[in-house]
Amino acid sequence: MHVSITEMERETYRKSPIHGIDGRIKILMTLAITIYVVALPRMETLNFTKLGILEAYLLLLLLFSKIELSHLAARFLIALPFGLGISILQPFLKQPFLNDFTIMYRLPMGVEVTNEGLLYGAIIFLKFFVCISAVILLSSTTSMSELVASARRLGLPKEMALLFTMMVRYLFVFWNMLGRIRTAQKTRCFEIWNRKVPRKWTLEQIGYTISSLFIRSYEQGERTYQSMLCRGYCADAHVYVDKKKLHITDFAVLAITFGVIIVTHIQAF
Amino acid sequence: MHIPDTFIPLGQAAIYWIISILFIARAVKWARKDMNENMIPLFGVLAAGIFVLQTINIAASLLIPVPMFTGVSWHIVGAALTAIIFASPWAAVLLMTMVLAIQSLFGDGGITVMGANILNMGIIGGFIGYYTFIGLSKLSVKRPAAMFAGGWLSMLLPAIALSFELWLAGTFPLKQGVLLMGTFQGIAGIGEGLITVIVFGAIIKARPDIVNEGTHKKESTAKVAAVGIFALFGLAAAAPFLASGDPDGLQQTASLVVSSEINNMIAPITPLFPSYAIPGMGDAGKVAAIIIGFAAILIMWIGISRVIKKV
Repeated sequence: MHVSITEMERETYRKSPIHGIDGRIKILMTLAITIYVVALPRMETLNFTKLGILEAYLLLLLLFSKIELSHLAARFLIALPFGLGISILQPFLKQPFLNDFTIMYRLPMGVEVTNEGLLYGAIIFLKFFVCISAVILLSSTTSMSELVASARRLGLPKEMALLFTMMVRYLFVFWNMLGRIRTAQKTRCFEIWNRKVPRKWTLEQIGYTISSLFIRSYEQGERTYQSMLCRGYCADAHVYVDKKKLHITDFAVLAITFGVIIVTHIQAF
Repeated sequence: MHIPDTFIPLGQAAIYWIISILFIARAVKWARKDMNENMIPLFGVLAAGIFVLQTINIAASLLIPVPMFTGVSWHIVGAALTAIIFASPWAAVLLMTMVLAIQSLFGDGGITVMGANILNMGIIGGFIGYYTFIGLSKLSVKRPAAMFAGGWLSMLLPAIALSFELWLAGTFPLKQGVLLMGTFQGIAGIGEGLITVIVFGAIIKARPDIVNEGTHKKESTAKVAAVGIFALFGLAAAAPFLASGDPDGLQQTASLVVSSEINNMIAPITPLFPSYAIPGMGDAGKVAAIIIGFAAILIMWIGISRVIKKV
């Protein structure tokens, strides 16, 4: 399963109510939900209701954003493995912040499944899932350049803004460059899984691909930098970001999101 | 090896963020001032290249020829590589920060824990990778070998740091974590080391002017020693928590082989710190004992090297 950055960027150019929301609002929403979810207590059955409400809210927004379901599924699948792996192991572990464990099952080799471990594993996985949903909602409805501009409007330091502006501008250029290198290698029947060629040779070829990408991106950087100098770039220069007015709908969405978080927090008690 | 959101509680994640922001600020200053000119636009473009080259899949079976690993792949990180090429760990900190920020949009590594991820892969990876290379070069180890070691450690130590972070967060037990992540990254590190050597060789052939070789030689020994001591003390502080309660292999074998008579003979020679601990101080005692031991070895080592230099 693989989602390329070009596929991801294509989704951000759809037209939908969610795509139309200002980037700043979407960044704030994502941060608010993520921080709230991370701050939820570790062991509490009420978490299930809270996380359920938040996840439902995020899925509703994703539904309104008209993103293709297959794309969404792929995005979730590639984000899951590491977090899922650690969550699945939790029932077998003795969490250091807990004292009493009730053993549910005893498995051979002294492995024990505990109630508390299972609860903690489930909660941490759901929390992780809600955070992933929030980030996917943000990144599949906001184009990267819009994200950087919004971050700049929210007060990202100008050096970082310049760095990220340059980065997202060339991300796709180099992505396509790697694509061309890969195609060229494929036409020569190059395959990393091929066992009929010496492993050292294959590793060297990959090394050369990486070096070529590195040098090409460095040289692109040099050219860009020099042409910027020609146009008067200096140390005090910064990226121009036009002022963008927030509409009533933007404030409404932000208010609704904070409302959902507050209602979730209070209702569950 | 990206920690996702919620696996580290907010308070701890904030501490990692603060550490990372201090380092990022210094790295931006480096790109603006310490290079001959303001190189920020160039590094922005290069970060895009590094992001893309991290998506190149490399078959695990190239390192371990076991059929079981068919289909398993890894990718390079490049912290040691960029630090060595630009002759500064700050390059790695800057580039890894940017790559990690964009990766977090893919859900690869969380937002609240990005500080921890930058600390592991950018800061620890960059500094350890670079100064291992410089240190070994100063000891006149051949360049490819030194570079390989730098690349390998730039993968291994972040994995160990990550295990400690997850342990402090209460998410994953320490020993299993170190074993699991350490093995995985230790193997991937071999590839990272090899690729670092190959790529550096190719770049220095094609564009020798990019590589800041002069700085490699000028780097002061004090800096290398400082990073080395910092890393050793970090490991020393960590070791007692890793050490098993069971007697170690040597003790075990000794108790089997050595007869009780000899044991009785040795008995009067009590070690300074029995069981590597200062009595009555618990785990803190263990940490202190190991740090004292390290300091003693360090002083001895400096003394010996002074004597050797004079001779």
